[in-house]
Amino acid sequence: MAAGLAAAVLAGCSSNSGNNSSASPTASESGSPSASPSASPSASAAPEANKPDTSKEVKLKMYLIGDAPKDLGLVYDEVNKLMKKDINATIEPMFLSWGDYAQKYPLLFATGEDFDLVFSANWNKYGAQADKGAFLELTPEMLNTYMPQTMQEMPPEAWEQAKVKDKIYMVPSSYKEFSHTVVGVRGDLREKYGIAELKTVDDFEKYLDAIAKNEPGLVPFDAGASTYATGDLIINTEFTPKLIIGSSGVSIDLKDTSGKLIDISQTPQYMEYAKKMADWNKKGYWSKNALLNKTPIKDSFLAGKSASMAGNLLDMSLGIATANQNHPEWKAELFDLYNGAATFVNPYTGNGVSINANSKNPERALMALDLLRNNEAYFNLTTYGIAGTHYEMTADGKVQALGGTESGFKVDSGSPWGWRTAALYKPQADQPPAFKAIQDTWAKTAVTNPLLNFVFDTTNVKNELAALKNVAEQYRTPITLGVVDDPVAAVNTLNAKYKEAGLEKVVTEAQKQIDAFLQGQK
Amino acid sequence: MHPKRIWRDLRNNRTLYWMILPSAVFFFVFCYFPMAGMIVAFKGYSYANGIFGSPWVGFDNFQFFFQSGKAWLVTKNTVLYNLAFMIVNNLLEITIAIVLFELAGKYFKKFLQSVIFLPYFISWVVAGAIVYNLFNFEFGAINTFLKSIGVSPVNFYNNPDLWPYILVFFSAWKSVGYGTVVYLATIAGIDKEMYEAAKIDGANVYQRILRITVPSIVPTIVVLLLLKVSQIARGDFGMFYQLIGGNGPLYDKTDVIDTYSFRALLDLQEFGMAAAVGLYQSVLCFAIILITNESVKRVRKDSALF
Repeated sequence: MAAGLAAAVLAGCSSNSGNNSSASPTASESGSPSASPSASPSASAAPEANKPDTSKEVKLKMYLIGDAPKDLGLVYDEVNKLMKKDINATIEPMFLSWGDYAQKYPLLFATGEDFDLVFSANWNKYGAQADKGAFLELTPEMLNTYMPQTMQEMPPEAWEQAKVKDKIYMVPSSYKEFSHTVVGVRGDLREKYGIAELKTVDDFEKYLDAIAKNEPGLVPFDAGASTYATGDLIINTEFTPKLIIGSSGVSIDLKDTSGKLIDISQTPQYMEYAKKMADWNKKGYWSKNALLNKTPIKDSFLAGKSASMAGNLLDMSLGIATANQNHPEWKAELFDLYNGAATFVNPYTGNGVSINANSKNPERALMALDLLRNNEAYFNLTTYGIAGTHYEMTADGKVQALGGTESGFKVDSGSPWGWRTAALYKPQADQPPAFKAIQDTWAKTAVTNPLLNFVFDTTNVKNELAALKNVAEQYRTPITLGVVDDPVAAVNTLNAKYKEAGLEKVVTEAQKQIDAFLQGQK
Repeated sequence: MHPKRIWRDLRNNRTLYWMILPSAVFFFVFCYFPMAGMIVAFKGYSYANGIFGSPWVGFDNFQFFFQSGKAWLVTKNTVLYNLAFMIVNNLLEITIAIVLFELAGKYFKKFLQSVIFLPYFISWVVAGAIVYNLFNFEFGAINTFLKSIGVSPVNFYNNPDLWPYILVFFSAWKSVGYGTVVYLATIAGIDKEMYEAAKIDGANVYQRILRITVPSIVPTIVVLLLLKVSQIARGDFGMFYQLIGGNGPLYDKTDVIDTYSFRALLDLQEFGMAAAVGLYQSVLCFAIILITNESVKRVRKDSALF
């Protein structure tokens, strides 16, 4: 059994690095915040009039997802010096690692462990956990009393998105994120084979083809079981899907506000995609055994084993920056292949912080969160580390990380995405120049749709979802990686199996909820 | 029994009862007491209400498993794989134990025994990596060899029919060493005088093995088999998960109850549904062990477990 647990850990590792990315920011940063962190934290504390009683000292515990950086203790010592003074409390962060958070997270609540704050996110079953009574309901009175700064700062739609059955259980991040895929390639190789700058998937294919034919020592694109980037680049530029039913392709096209569900797996575009992936795999763009490849695509690229990588904008920017630090001769580049296709801003609930239902000090926990989110001293410490040791501000108001790969507290390494706010998150000096350009382009092509706020309540269709999940793993992942002999037959089998697993019932239920949701909007 | 007689019995045998107490407490605390939690399989579990306070939902938690259309397939796979492992491994263990016992050279014997035992200490995680490096299409040892002699490579990971053999092979590779030691100990305990008497009577080595060794270890074989049978509906999760991993094309031939439910439920985080699968396996195992034990009792009363 020990082996089984370890297995789960390893498997979690590879599949979760994808989730890691959804925690990364990609939105445009318009206002340039002040260069120096404000020295007096108490200046922005809650109004004196209805100031809550903080005479009793409390110790808060906070669970985050990620792996604790080396200097975490030093950073939180600084945070606690401030927090002790401001609200007579200290905070202790604890980490659930990427390897096993999926198993451990629900156990935090099942075992009744004593803690106060916890990272929550839509990609981490926020709705289902709230439904099972994991989180404390946050009433407007509580929020107004204990989080006055947050109430001013939060966009109203963020609160709407955080509602589960009309109740709020999360204080979402207010930072705008995109989760669309960009690709990173080796500029030296691109120029060597005379390929122009990449603008579309076809350009990318030309690059992969040149590598496959001419560079036997390199895997063109080292995909693994958790690589969905090709689907994003090829399918999601045709539709603008917000996935409604997990493990299937049933989505809303966000360009359409009527709320009609489409099953992408049944579209001709998906069939074309399946054929293309089988073709790419046959041409050797990635391993025939990619289903068993557990190395994240970025790691493979950085190790010099493969010639390209794909993922979300922030993750890829970091990858490109690292590549150019370690191997300047690669001239690593970042390309957006969306080419003007519609994009959308992720729901704010992609990152947030909730209060444990069993917390003994929910008031102080909310006050602490208010400081982390809105007080620049707290925000900078938890996001960038200690000024002068881990980062410094450049003259043009950007964050320059110090210490390179040896740094004990890299930017965002303390998993602070749950309280990331648009006003305090700063641009970074190391980001490749394409980063800002891509962000700006996407902000322009972003569509809005009230259905972005829709959350599917899966209570009535759990059995079907379990079966669908299995179908996706058994029949869809091989199509995504092109490891099928006959893509047409494989897609037909996939859709037949979805049907057997009860997809229609889930679609009916989802459509019913969407119609009710749209009715409520009017 | 009359209360007075129970009391007398307790007093007369108090030393024995004291000796049994620690294990009785252990089993009560870790096996019987948590059994009450089994009811979570029939509950719509929520954190706020806990196991006992959550509402009853009847057999709803079992639905996903039987409705999936995979219940029969994965149950069949689980039981058949375990049967195959049981038969192949035990035959190998008995054979190797007898051969080792009959071998003359002491140091060679010890060396051989260690070599066979070694894989037992390798975890399935490591074994999984070994298997991957053997069978990988592009750089695997087997395919590299095939290519070097001009044979076209085989895509093992896309060829489900090969895997029952591969899995049985690796199960034997890993566990035969351990079982061999058990049988060796049993054989070593057989009365030497029987062999000497047989030799004087002119029995050759095969006769000695078939007439003395094998009959003497039958009780051990039966007990070991019964213990294995009691786990027959539980797949070796570590093995199947590490060797097969996320390789969908192989699932129809290699999925066992444990891997199937792990995949289906990991995302859903439904405690009740996971407990339901566990309960299904327990009930199945319980029924099978009762039947087997009863059959053994008919044939050899002394070898039955209870």
